[in-house]
Amino acid sequence: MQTRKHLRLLTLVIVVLMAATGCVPQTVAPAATEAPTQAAAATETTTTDSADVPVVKIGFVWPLTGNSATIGQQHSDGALMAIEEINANGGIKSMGGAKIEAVVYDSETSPDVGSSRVETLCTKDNVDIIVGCYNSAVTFPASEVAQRYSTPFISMGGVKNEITERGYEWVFRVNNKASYDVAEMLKGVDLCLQASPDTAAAVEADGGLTYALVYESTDWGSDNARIWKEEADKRGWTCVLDEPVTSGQSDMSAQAIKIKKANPDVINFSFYTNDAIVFTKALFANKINPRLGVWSVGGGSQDAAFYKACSPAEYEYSFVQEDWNVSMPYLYDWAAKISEDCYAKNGYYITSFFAQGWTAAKVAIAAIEAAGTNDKEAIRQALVNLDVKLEDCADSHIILTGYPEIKFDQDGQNTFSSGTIIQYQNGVQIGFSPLSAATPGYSPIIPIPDDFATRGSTSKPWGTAPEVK
Amino acid sequence: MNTKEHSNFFQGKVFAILGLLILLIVPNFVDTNVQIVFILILFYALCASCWNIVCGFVGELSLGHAVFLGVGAYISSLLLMDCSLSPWIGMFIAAAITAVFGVIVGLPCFRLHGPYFALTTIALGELIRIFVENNETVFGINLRGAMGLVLKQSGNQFIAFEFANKITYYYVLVALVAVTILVTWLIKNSKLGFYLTAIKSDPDAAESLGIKLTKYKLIAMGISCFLISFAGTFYAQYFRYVGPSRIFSHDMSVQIALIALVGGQGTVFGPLMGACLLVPITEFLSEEFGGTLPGLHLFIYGIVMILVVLYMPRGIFHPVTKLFKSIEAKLFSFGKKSVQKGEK
Amino acid sequence: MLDSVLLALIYGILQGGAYGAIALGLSVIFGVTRVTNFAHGAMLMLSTFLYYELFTRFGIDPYIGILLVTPVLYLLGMATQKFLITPLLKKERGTTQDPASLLLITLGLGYAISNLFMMIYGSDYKTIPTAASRSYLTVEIGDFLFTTQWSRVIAFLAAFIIGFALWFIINKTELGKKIRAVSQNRDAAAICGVDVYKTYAVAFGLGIAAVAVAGACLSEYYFVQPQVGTLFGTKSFLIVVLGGLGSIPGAILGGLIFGIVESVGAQFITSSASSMLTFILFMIMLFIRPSGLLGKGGKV
Repeated sequence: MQTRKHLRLLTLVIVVLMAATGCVPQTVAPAATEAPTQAAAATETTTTDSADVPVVKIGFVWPLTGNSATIGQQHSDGALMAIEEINANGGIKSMGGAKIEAVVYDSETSPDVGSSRVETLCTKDNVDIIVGCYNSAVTFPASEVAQRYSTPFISMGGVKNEITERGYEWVFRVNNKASYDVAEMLKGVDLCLQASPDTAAAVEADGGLTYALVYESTDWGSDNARIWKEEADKRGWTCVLDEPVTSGQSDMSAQAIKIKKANPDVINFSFYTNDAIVFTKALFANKINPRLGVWSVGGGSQDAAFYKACSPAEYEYSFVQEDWNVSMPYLYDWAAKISEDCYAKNGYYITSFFAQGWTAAKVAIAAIEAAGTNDKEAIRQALVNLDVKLEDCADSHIILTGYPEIKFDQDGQNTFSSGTIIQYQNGVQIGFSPLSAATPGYSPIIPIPDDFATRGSTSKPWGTAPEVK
Repeated sequence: MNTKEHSNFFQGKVFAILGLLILLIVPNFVDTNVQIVFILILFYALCASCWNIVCGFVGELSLGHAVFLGVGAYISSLLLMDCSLSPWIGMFIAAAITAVFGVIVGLPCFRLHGPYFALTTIALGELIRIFVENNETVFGINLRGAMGLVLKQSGNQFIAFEFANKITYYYVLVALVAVTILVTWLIKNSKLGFYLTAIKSDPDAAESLGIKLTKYKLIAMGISCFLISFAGTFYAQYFRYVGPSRIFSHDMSVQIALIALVGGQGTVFGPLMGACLLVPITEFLSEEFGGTLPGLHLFIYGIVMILVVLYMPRGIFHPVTKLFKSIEAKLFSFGKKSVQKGEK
Repeated sequence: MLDSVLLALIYGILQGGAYGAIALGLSVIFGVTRVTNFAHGAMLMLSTFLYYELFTRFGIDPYIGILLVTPVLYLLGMATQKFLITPLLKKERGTTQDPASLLLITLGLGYAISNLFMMIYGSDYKTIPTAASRSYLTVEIGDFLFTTQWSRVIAFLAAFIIGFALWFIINKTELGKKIRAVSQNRDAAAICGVDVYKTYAVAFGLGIAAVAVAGACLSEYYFVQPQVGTLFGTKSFLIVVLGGLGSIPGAILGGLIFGIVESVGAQFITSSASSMLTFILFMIMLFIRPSGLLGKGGKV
């Protein structure tokens, strides 16, 4: 009996060991898993070499497990690569070449875990600045903790308006607010109508523009839908379908039928990767073809995994509000180089999430560089005074996201942040709004052609650069 | 013989008292980040103890207890936000409402047993979560849907249940856990406790003896919900944000149940012991490896569960106390012997 | 209106079949061993990862991969019963049965498996782009358009094939005789010379093998990801209880009802409200008839 007991324990131990060994070679693929250890090792060696060189610590909290984990992973990849670049080029110059150490935590997509991790960063790791947390629902309480500990907090990813509207002087946001996202999309719809007067006339003749909102019933999805509705009301558009969906669906045919019946001119959806894949497939299968297209506010449809799972035919002609200037790699050589490096290291070309992670880390570093000290108040002041323009980034590579400028207003919001409205044409991302991000020689294809039989047959693989006409 | 007569209150409890003293005093002298872990330990100990009152004694497995935690958090926070009522008063109103809610929910659920009961509680939890996420207002009360409740900072006022330092939060929790453990002890040594144990070991026999099964289960449920609502208020005040997708989540419910089960269901101090074991492990693993090996801490969680069920099916409480008692006995007798030798 | 309801009904039935296919194994395990296997979803996920590996490394289509993966999962199921559950049953023999520890051990196993895969593969969404997932079945009559991936149709049919196979094994074979004997009366079967625990292990293995077949069908149209199990795991439970724990046709019926309620319900109310509807339906069912639609009566 006793030996059998031990045998059982032994098998368990073996299983655990097998699991552990199984992990090691496999986890190399997403390079970020190794990067922090490398970064940590790098800083360790340098600190022992020259003990007087100070170390700068940046804390990151991303969702590395849960629904938005793929996104958090890309944010993390971007931030860690940015730090690697700085460390390789002599660290923070104003601090005598101080090396940067990244401390990365998993928020588990949970507000309380996220807050606790930020608190750990403030108290145990004593980081100089914090970047996080992608999900609005996590960023919101987590940034409050940073405020309480008087530690600069750069919000990256979270779009909830209120994050920077609470009068917190320690909280800054580089990326868009939800209201910016929606404004960009509505402006994009306007541009489409201008580009095709015939369609505009037809829409008018049918009694004005109609739209359908399909979104996951979480903080982010419902916030986006609410703002879209408010703004669309001002334009006199009609909502024909308002459909919250519980996340984690395995089939969205029912939703597709509903949309088909409502027959909107525009579909706006907000889903994370898993639901975005299922939804896009269902729309295509049911041949749903709104004349002004399917518009996604980002989330899942900016994720590389989405494009691996869907065939080009399924996302052809769809519009995406990308949270960065998609033309960056074609406009700037340095951005193209980063994109190549990213592919070599992580297996994908820059995505908006990678670019955002990169830019947030770079902004944090720029602030420390400007402050020239570890003092948190000085770093905060540096953030307040920060003013970087895209054309000045040739050496510093700060604004990989392609915002024209980064400058925070009195709320800590970067008012220059902007994304790109892109349309997939022949499988290639074509930017057309705003003009600074437009792909030269292209205009949106409106109305969406009814070519389901041949759609996507000549499409280029995702990530192909557009031919500049 | 002589030693037995001399046995006093402390005998066999040295380590327990030592442990409690550590929980009481040590947090005063550690860094904030360690205090955070102590707070989490006691928070989960509180939730698990409440779970234990109904599920531990009755022997049913509720995997939806986070619902009551959430209801408590929502009510006290809404009272604070919409009526500016101090959480110190609000938490009692919330507790009363949660208790009533718990009894109403328990009424049909307790007709079921085993897997049926567990699955119903899972379904209930998911139902409430989706409901709150999708409804901005219910009966004219603004629940704020998926956005959750955000508690504004009001400065560090006692009246607003908001403190500048962690240690005050910690001692509030100490008080709540002490009350819950006291209530558990009282129940265990009361008629109610005997009835519940009887129901657990043989419901049919208990019923034939005239014990009204449902009545006593519901009383336990009411007490459990009343107390777990305090934990909800604490959660809201401590994190200052209540998000429905977290507080009503299945994960939260499972975590509460697990800690109690690993600690030892039906024991007074078991849930506290379970929290002392599991929370630091998960916090450590998720901090150390969360950035590099996400999922490791939950993997270990699963393995610990399997090991505990296989080797200590009644939880770690009895084996651990036995171990400590034997260590104590050894130390004690060693001291005794030397004294006796000296006498000779 | 009628159009869309009819369409929703068809989609619901297809989806429901897939739910049923996944739930079948769970039902068999409960019917025989009385164990609610909370690791069911994790086992499903595990099987889809095996198909994914077979496809990416050797180009083996999951439908063919069934021949390789099912035996592996059968052994895994047997091992789970033998090393984790049987010791508990032996320990509790004679004393009062403690359902909590049985639930707990499978719950722990599920946690361990799904997070192990999270550590190994990360949380990336992977797909298996096979022919069946890329070709569509289309029925077009005027305005009425019904179209779906062939892989979803196959998943629907699989429910009946798995169901029939399980029914055949349990009702028509020598092995099935033992299984039935054990599930009806453990002690009597033991007296008649049936090795109860071995039979339990076989039944558990059968249930897990069934979920491996369902996993092949699922991986043809859904993605492969460590958290897929949680999604289908919870649903399977509700379905099995709705149909009657331990009943093979009940699991399929429960699946169909779930699929239809979700899909048709969404035509009248919002999708999130219709997913609440399934939970409400489940709870009402439990309170009126706890043994489920096709379950045998008796105490629960």
